[in-house]
Amino acid sequence: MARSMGLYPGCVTSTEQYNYEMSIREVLPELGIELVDVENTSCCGSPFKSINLLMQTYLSARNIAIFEMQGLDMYTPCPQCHLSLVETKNRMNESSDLREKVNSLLMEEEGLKYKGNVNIYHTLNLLHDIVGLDMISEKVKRPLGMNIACHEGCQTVRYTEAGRPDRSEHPEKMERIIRTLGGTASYYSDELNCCGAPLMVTHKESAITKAGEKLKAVKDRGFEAMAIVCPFGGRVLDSKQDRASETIGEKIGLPVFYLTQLIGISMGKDPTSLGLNLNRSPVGRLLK
Amino acid sequence: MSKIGVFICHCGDNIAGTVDVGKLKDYLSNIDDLVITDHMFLCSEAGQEQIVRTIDSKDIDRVVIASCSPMHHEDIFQNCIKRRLNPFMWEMANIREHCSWVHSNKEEGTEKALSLIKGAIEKVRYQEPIDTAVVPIKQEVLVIGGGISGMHASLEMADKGSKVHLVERGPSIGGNMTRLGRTFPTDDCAMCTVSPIMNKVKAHPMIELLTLSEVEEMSGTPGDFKAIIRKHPRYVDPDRCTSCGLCVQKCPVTIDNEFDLGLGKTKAIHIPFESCVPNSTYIQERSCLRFQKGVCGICEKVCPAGAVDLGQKEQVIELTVGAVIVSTGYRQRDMSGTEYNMEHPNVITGLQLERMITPSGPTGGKIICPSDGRIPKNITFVQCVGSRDRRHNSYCSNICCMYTAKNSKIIRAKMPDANINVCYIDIRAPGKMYEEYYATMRENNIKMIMGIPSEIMDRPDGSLYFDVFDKATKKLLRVDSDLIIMATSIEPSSGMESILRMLHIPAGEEGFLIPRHVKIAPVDTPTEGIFTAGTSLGPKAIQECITDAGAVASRVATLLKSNTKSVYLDTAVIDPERCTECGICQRECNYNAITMDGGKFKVVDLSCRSCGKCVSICPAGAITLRSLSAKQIKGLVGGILSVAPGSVIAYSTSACGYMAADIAGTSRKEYPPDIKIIKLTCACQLTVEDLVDPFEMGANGILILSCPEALHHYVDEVKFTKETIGKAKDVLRKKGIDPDRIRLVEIVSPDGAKLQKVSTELSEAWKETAEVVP
Amino acid sequence: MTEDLSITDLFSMSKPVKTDTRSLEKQLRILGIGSPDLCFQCSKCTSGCEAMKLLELEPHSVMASVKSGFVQEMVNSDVLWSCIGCYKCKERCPQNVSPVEIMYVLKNWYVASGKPIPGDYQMMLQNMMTKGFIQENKEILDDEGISKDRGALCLPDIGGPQDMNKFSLIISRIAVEKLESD
Repeated sequence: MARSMGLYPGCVTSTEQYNYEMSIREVLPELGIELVDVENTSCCGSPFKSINLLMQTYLSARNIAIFEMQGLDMYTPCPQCHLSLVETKNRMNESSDLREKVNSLLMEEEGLKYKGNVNIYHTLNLLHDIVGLDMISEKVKRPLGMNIACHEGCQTVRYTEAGRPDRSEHPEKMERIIRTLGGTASYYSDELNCCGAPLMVTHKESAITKAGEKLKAVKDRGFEAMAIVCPFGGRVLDSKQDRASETIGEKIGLPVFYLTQLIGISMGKDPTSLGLNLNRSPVGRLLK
Repeated sequence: MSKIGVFICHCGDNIAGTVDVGKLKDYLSNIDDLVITDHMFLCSEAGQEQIVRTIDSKDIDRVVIASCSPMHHEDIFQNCIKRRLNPFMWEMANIREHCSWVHSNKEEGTEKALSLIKGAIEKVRYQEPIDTAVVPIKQEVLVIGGGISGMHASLEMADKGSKVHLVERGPSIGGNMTRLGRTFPTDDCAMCTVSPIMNKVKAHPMIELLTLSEVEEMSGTPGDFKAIIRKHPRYVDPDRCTSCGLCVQKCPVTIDNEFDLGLGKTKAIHIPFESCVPNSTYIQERSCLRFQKGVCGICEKVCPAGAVDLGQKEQVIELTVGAVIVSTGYRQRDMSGTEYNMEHPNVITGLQLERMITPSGPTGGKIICPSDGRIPKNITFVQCVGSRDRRHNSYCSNICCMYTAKNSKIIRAKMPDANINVCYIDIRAPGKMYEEYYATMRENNIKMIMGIPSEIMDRPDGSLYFDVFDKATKKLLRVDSDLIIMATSIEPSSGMESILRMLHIPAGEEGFLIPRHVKIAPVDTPTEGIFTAGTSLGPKAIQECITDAGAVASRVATLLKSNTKSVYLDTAVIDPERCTECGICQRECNYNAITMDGGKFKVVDLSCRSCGKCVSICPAGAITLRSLSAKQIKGLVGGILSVAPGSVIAYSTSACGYMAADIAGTSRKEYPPDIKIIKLTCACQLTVEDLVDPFEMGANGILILSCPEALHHYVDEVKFTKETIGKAKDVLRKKGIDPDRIRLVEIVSPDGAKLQKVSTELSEAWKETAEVVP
Repeated sequence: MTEDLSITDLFSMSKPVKTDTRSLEKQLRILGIGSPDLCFQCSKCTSGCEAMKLLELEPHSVMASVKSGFVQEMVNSDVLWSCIGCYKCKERCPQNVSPVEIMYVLKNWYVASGKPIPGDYQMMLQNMMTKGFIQENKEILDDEGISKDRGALCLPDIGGPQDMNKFSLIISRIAVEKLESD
């Protein structure tokens, strides 16, 4: 029995990380998640926290309201969006001042009404908690057989108070999924290191340096690939891996996959359907 | 018919200056059963003689003294009256501090004095003589927990001549102190200090030592507690065991040595530690093949002294004691699963380091890296791990700065070339010789880093490092460390849980026991007869544990002074006819002063603190406070209002509200005379009727002057009283009376100024609409 | 009306004022962000700050400055824009202080004052007002060097807000809307 989930891709997935979106659309229906596309959406506001927090709140609230009015739960592949949406939901619940202000703005925009009764999921908790390891295990045809580094990403595991897909210290869900796919995974000290992606807005060099440092740390530990659940992270860890290699002065060459791409591989899906030919890191290695 | 003797004091012109004593006498003479006299200075010898003579000659069976505040001369007058009457058959009307000194208008002052006297008369009219009861005080003591606090308290009590039962759940007494290497600030060897104490305990004829024992059930009342102790089998006879260790050698089962906190291994049969008391092996049942699988039994076979007895059975022991001392000690918080990487073998706790420092420990006194046994070259201490941390324990664990100072110096002495770092937030060294101790730490080339790392990282080769921002040098430092010692937060030991459940004593949010009063009753619990010492109350150093133990022994000795104790029955009493046996009073009593006796609920007079919460909470109105019954309150209020309708009835707690009114008096702060102060022990006793009836008797308003919430002299006084007020307000609303005419004001005793301000404001506000009852 | 805190920074000769701190606390409360009051300078946040090593951001120092009233100085400080938003400081603070979020508010004040915004933010805002997202659909090269867009990959069109006019109007309004009534 399929479960309907409204898809909220967020800016980066819908305008750039097509590969991740393709893998999501390929893989999730087979795991019992029916994705519903929703119109009238916009940026969630997360990139604008430094600019105007009220704007961020408004943008997240309007997206929640849009999904709510269609009776849909929200699923987003991006932890930045997920945090912004969940945080907005919490803030609107707790602060009546804020709620009033945002609601009056929403009313003006085509009478959007926010009630906040929407479940909001991210790839990690959707797969681990809703789909479940058993269901995933059933679909595995080609065990991965690789030692894979998990990179949850900062906003997937922090901050705990808001309610995140996994816990902030020694997160385990991704590891468990990798093992279910027939790969090996284990916690490593640098797992919680930031990839630097948000710095691309103001300090590009530093962002790429951080990404390089993360990739190098993973490689030095003997991992053969990296799994991520953040399209923002993918921008630097995958798309800009060559630049990162230059910046830190060492050739990295580490395959970086979005988690659903790995699931698709283990399901035996055609790599092109998972967008793997759009990844910039040497993912072909895994497919041989 | 017996009469009420009314004695009015002039107090020179302190009272007579503003209160017309002649007029008082005139009015009072209209009441039949009074005998009225006045005196210039009633508290003087002559005055007292007059009281006694009048009682003798006039068939008086109860007395009203209209004079100063009872806070001054209550004892003098009580001793005087006691010569002829039951010591409770009298009442004082405070017509000085609460009247003549705060009202300058003679007419108003006189009317108020009259109303206060009338109130006192109507109160004492319903006073019953209060007797004493004799309560048995059993002379034996139960001490729960055999660490330094429990042992020292036991020795003190035993030396005073009491029989002590010391119950310890582990196989040996001694507690955490036996794990330590040295102690600050003298760097004495810990075992050398504690071992003689352990031996003294064993040898003392008045101490019964029960190890591997736990208290399973407690019942009874102070002076007469019953405890059921379950003694687990040791499977070894300590009198025969010579600690030769042959059984340990032969035992096939290896286990983690609990004493060494995961740093060492031992066998299922083992000696807890070398100088343990009792000095014998014991078998850890859950690891032993004989008990888990029914095989082996080698130890019994090889023991040359025939000390191993696998057939030993559990014992159940019943004890009757007069007092209980809780000294269950502490443990260090488990910080696994956090950013501190405690899972790494070379990240250890303070107590684990002690095991390494001790010459008799698992490493023979050598500091090593547990992962591979190598000698560390770089050693770091990190402070405040899980302490001062609102995500874990928000309190400071008190001793960590000092034990880190101690251990860093010890390591420096053992390893002159090592790099030793300490990451800290603040250094806390408040005790005697502590600051000097900290100075010697700085003199020993120990690097102080003024900052805390965010996380502890490790590299693929297993080496540890972390980044820390040092606020002193303003540099971000990467610190490589072979061994990291975490000063993890100190928490109550796991035994605390069952203690709380069994003894019904309260613990704070962090789990430590709450004393009856933090400043002036630090080793009593709110329950009479149950005391506590040591780290059960909170993290502290050994010297403070010894102080606690001494204090607790003194408190127990006072309770156990003789075989019986005389208790005045001015406490609460339950009417068995009206009691519906709902049990709310027992559940809600903060002092455990209500018990089941012969199928009926009864107040334990020795424990009762006369707060009156039970009186108010009983849905059947079956409980009376014998020092101030509901009838008496009604009489008192009625008496006041019969003379001065439209008064504001100000129920005042004796510790704070009443005192504040006294201070207003002594500092001559005037306020409206319609305020009538009524003394209560605790505002808890006020019932809904006490808060509603006055309006129907003509009051303009009710003011409750209570102790501030934070200070509560009686546990949860303000919280509970507010609940009662809420209920009373509902009733007032139904009657069409403005519920805002009940006001609770928290006031501290010296705050006469606040009393003046509040009573003036409310009196005026409530006078505006005098039509109270429609 | 400013209220002098009777403290002078002898390097800059600036004097912090009370109104700034009060205003900041008010906004923090409306947004449900904890005040910096409880910070006791353990510097754990700075020890773990992902922007510290490369860009020298010291969250503990920012908190101390704000607590002492040097709010304007912080608002005008460039280094706040180095914050990555990794939330490690908020997660690990033993006193539940949230430097990352307090810095967001300080940056909001900077933007509200009309000064030029660093980095790509201006462009991202522009895109948002005209398309609803921070950038327009890009063309991505596959492993054969062929450029692909959503259509070529059979991905459905994700349009932005249906009434862009109204949407951008409201966004502009928010930019000048005050979070708290004075």
